[in-house]
Amino acid sequence: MAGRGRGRGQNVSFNIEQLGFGRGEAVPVSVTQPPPLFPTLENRPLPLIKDVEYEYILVTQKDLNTRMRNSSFHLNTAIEIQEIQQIHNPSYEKELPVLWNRMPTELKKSIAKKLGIEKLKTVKSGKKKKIEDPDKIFAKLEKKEIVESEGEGMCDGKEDEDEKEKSDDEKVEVEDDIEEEIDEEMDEGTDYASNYFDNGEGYLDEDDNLDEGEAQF
Amino acid sequence: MAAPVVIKKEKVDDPRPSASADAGEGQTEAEIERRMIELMGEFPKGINDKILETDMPNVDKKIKVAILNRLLSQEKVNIFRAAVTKELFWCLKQQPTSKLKGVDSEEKIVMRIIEEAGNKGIWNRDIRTKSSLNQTTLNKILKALEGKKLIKSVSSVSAAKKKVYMLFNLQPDRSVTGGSWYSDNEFESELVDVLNQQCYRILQQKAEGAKQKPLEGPLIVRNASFLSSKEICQIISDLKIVKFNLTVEDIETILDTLVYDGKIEMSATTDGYSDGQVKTYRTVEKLLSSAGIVRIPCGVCPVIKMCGTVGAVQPKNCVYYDQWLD
Amino acid sequence: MPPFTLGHFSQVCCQLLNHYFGEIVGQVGAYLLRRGHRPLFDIPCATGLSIAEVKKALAVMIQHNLVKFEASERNNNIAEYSIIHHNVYCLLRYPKYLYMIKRIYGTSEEILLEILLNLGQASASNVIFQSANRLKEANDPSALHQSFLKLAQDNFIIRCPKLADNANMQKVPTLVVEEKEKFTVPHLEIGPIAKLLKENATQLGEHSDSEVIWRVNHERFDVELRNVILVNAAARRVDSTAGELYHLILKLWRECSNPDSPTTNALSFNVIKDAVRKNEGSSPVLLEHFEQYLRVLYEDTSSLITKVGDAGGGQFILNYSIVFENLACATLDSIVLERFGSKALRLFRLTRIQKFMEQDQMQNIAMIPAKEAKMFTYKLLEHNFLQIKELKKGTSNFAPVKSFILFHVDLPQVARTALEASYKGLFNAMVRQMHDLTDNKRLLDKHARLETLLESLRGEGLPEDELAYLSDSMTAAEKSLVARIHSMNDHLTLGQTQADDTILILESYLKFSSMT
Repeated sequence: MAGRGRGRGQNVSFNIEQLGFGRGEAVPVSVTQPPPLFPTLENRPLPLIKDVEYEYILVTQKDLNTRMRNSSFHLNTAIEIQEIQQIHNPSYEKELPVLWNRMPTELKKSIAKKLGIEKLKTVKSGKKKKIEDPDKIFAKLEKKEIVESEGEGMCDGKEDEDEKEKSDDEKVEVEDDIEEEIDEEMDEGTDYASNYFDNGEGYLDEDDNLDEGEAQF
Repeated sequence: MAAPVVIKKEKVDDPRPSASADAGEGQTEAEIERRMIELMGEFPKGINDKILETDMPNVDKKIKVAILNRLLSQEKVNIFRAAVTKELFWCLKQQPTSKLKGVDSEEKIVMRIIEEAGNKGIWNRDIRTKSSLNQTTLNKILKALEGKKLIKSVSSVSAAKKKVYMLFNLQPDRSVTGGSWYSDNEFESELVDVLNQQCYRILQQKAEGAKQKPLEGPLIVRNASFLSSKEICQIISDLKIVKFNLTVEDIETILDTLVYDGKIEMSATTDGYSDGQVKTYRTVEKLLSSAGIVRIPCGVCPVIKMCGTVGAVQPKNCVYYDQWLD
Repeated sequence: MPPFTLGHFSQVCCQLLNHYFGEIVGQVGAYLLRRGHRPLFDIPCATGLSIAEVKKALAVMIQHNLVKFEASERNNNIAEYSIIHHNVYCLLRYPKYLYMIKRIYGTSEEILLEILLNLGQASASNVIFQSANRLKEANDPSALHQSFLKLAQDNFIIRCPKLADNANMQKVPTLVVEEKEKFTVPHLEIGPIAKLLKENATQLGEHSDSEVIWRVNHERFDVELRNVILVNAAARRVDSTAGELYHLILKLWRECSNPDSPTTNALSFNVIKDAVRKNEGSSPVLLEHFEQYLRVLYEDTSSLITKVGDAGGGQFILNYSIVFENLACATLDSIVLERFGSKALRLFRLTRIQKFMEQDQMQNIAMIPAKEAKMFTYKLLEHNFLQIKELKKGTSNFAPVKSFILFHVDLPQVARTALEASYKGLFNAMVRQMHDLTDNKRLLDKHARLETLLESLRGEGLPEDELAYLSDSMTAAEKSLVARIHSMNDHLTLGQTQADDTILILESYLKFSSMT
């Protein structure tokens, strides 16, 4: 084995010529590693255009970001709310300045505008709460019904809503945890029977989502 | 009374003069033939009746005609008619015929086939098909003919290894050599690029010049930016960048590449003077300076197909973004 | 839900929702983007959010015209919600909208629009009130009223569909579009607004037009964005005066044509001439050489103006599909040029112009050496800029059939591929931006707090040396890092805005080409 391919192929155990390389031709350099993940860029991107318009856009974008992030419409997750409460204001509340009369009533049902911290409480002590005194629950449910029926009577303007909210705040705070649980179990105003059994009509109901089916990376 | 019948002996005509018979001033036909060929050598452009009359006035016209016809059938001379006077001329047939004397019939066949191919040449295999000779014979013949400098082989630009055969003196056609842009069968891309840039610069200058007169209105400015292919050809030729003669067609192929680069546009108009269309060109601006997407790394990224929110290539570890943001 | 199962466009939408409205809205949005029309109760279990969170998210999105609802067919007490894709994407363009309004009108209109964008949907009085509040000293509600009228007149803002008469009895209110009233501003009572402003009130309270709700008109802004591109093209092609003329003609076309049609109605030469003369801003050059400018524009191969007849001195239209095809080609050309080089561009344009070409023809006409030509052709093919069509020649049953390979450019397909790639690029830039910010969140927050502290203390009159001392609580290295992060952030914002330009052109081309 070692004797074959003398002269040209001294380091290899076979005759180079058998592979089709003529004598004296360079053997291609052996590839010992995969190609680089980020090959050097031959064509760099063109420079960004920086004119008056884009200066304005930069400033406006930052302004917009700050405003949107601080607006009531920016919904914070539970953790974020906890953080904010720790750092800023313990009684941090956000009302949602939305035009409720233009929305389906099912969205209005939860008068408890505060999520997060209440939910967190629920999660922590959820298990415990479930074993609460049934009488207490019943009393709270009654109260809740009253509040809700008052809520349904409101059709216009968010001001009313806000006022109502301020007075109901105390009640709501206490009832909240129970409400959350009830909410999850019972969809008010919905037909339980017809929704429990999904008759499959909506199974392939993806007409609106045109982006599926394309190459995913 | 019966008169005695006298049978007169008719006089027999002289027999037709044979080749060896005396004619005229005692010249043999061979001598006359020789003299004719000599004359034709002296007048390579051809001899006519007048010259023959002057030279050998005593020779019978019939004899001359006969000799000339014989020479024609032997393919030693050619006959043609002068364009203006419509006179008949005879001249010696060119070299190959006389040289062909030493060549046998197979070679003649091959020669004829090659001759027919003209300046485009003919491929070895095609000669074989037409002559029905076998390969080895053919190759021998071709070698011999090449040796005698009767034919030559020219490598065709379309396939580097393909050779076509043609008569020795002929100029190969453009389709074989590739035209002005090929030398030694290699495409001269640098030359093409240089001419491309040069033409563009010429048109740019014309447009600049036109813009110097904005007061006349945009239409005037636009029309003043045009140059015809003929004019461009002239300017380039004057610059003496190339050693050979550039034709208008050559320049038009270069200008076409500029059109396809998106840098100029062509408009064909009919010229009052010449038949057919005159092509004029001017520079045009692109509708966009550049697409927005190519100003971010993703627009030119070579590995974009591998990029995603999971995996080795992600925006957050992207080297190109790192470079770009620096 | 992990975003990688969405297409690139949807991924961009998710990022925008996350960015402006928070993760909860982002998750609900992602779900609806993926699943289409969904009722309320599907969402919490699919997203893992609580029902209260989902309700809030939906309310926010409906308020901002990002989600619409319809009564479900099965049960009209429940609503089915679906995303309005285009509106979500347009969140990206808000700064551009503001720039355009500022440039066309001025600061009051700019503030009005900004307030409306912040509120999503609001009554005219409310918008005026809040804008006046924002402007503080310089507030004049009646001037703002006039500005509001201007915006409505030019259709930049539009009325939302009104509640049907029986809406307050329905669980899912029906909303009715009033075609004729879309841009009509109802009578406003400015007096009470002015009074409240003097009292430094923060809320408007009851007002007469509280049922007439307005929102921003995305389609109109799209038209304006497209017009900017067209005018720039005209100016590049000819000169700035031509751009000026073209801008005017675009305005005339808009006034006389249906915005949804792929071609405008015809304008006659005389009408245009009149308009140029009457326009106050017309430059002297334009007035003098008006005919020449018009002619140069309609004779230009870019089809910015198409002449369709000779009546009235000439009839002119704008054919959107042709013009945007040319713009899309220019965009694709630019992409091919920057990615692959000028030789590749030549091959690409050649194949596109000549429709179908063989490899040999391509390299001959383009005058590119064979080896290079083949390499570039392959690269273009690999990245989908060229397509192949195989033609079989020969009918013999014995010999192998010879086939021609022809290259061509299927423009809609290439445009779609480039559009997808652009969405991806945009998404990547957003992800990178988000990543850089969250990585350095602590530092940036610290810096921001320091800055606000310094500002307020400076306002209170604290002496400079004490301020400097406080300012040193952050090291120079930290400060320069913060500056660097800000500059990277700016870079990425600009990059996203400019990528959006490409997206607009390609989207418009695909939209108009599918109309004809």
